[in-house]
Amino acid sequence: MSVQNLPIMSRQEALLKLAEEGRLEALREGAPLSFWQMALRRLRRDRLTMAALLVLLLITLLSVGARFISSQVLGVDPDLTEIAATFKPPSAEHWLGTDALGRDQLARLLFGGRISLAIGFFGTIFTAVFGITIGMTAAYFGRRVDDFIMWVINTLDSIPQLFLLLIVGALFELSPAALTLLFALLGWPFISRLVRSSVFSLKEREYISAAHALGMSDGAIMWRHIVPNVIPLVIIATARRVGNLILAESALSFLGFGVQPPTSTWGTMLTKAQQFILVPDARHLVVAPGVMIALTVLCLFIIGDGLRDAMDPRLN
Amino acid sequence: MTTYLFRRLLQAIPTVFGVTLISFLIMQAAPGDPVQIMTFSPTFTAEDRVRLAHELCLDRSLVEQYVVWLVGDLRGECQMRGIFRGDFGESFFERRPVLELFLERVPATLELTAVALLIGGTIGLFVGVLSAVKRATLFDNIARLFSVLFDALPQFWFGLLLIMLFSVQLGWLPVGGRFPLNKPDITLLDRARYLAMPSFVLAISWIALMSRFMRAETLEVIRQDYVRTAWAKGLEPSKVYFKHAARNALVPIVTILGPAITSLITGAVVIERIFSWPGMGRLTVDAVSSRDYPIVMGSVIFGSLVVILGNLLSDFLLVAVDPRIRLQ
Repeated sequence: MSVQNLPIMSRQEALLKLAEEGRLEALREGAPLSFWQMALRRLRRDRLTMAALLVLLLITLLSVGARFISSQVLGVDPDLTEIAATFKPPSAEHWLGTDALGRDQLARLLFGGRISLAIGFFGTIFTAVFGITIGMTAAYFGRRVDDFIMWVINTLDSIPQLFLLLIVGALFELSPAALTLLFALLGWPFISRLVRSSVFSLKEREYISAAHALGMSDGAIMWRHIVPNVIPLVIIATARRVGNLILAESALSFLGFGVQPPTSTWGTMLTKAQQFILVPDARHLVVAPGVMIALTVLCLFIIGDGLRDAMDPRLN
Repeated sequence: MTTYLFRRLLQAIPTVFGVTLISFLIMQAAPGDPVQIMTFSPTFTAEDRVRLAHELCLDRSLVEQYVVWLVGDLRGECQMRGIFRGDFGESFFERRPVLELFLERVPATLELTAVALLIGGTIGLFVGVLSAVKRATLFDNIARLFSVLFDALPQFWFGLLLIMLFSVQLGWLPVGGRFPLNKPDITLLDRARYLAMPSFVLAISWIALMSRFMRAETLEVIRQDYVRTAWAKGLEPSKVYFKHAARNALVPIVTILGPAITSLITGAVVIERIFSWPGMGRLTVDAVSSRDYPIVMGSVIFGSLVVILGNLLSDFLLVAVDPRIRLQ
């Protein structure tokens, strides 16, 4: 069942649904809980999601504190090359061994996480912002503007994204920031599609007519009454996006068209590892970056699914 | 029915037009002049370059170049016949028509994706139906865990691990390629050995998607009256599940066919690279690296056409299986 096919639900309806599910007591005790408080409450009860959140938090902290950890705890410099110490297996000095240039694998792994995570998170945020803005514009202005935006959406949806990423990546040698923006520029159509169709149906609701009758301006109605109703849908739709972007970035970097050396990401570390796949001493280099990508993406997917379940009472 | 199909076909026209526009514009924005790239060798003179630019219609305005690229030169001054007439230009480096190169590579990609689709479809179908039937058991939980895990694994990394295990460590399967190069007669077994790893790696995301989908759809279907009737008739469980339930659960699958095709051709690009599979994907990646623009533009259009056709097919099948949609 795809999200697009679900009927649109207002916050009030969602609240009622939640209340029906035996949470009436929450409503009776004084102030009723808001939609977000309800969602948060559900999320906290979801153990798998909370565990995934914890692991992700740990990975994020390790990446953010990469400089401190590598210099203070590990006592190594991630960029220090040592020709005498290439392809060292894991040891007390180098916990995860060294790479083809004798650099500490663990330190590079921590630094690599920074770029991968940042691209995933910011890429998704930008995607959502573009998607909501463009989708609302299409639905609000309708007619020609809508036709034009739909044409762009259909066109972008028809081109396999990896092809465009490869080409733009190869022709313009992207910085991590530019890559993030590129992901957003290519990724917004599916959110716009969703936002557009939900705004079309929300526009017809009675409470919107009521707001018009009370003399609210179009802009205020959009901001106060439409956007808050669209946000949960967008979160549900984008929940897995962060993980998908990290996968896309790693694949792109692996192919050699993403983040360029010497900046290390998990994807570029695997490119290097593949070149030495026939060197018996170098095999340990393949494992760690891949495990990090898989673990991070797995956590993000679990959190994404958990968020969706917490915000969408119909699924339970 | 015919009206609906016709309308959908008409709607695809502006999309195809948009795809050509985007790929043309990206190539225009790309650094480097095609004529310079083609005449890199010092044996070319300035006159040669001017002549070449004229032959390729590169000395015209941007709009004219676009039109020429689409439908060919109507004035007949340059040799381009336009992509709508099957002329995607000539590869800069191989000096052969792009279409010819494509046609050479298509069978390999088709072979890889078709086998992956078959593997993924079969495994996904069985796991999904069993998951639904054995809901909330150990099997169901493990199956669901794997479906998330298969989504989260970077395909290329999974491929590398398989190569390390089966080729480098155990020596059972070849590292890459499509068939042995130094063997006179190639048996089906040889082909299967070369195909095993790449097709399985390409199949994993499809297994994940398909099993989730089949589980959800089967859960919907097994509650219905006709399934109860099937039980009441005293049919064996396997007949009830796979003949009665799965058949109807399969109907909505046409809706995910489009996205599935997209993910398969995208996946093929990465996997062909890892396993040195001589298909369209590798041709594209190599062309991007060497800035062979005609091939790159051609593959964007080719890839997009596959996606557009996949979506059309998906829509048509949906109408064919569900008559209610026609009326809307």
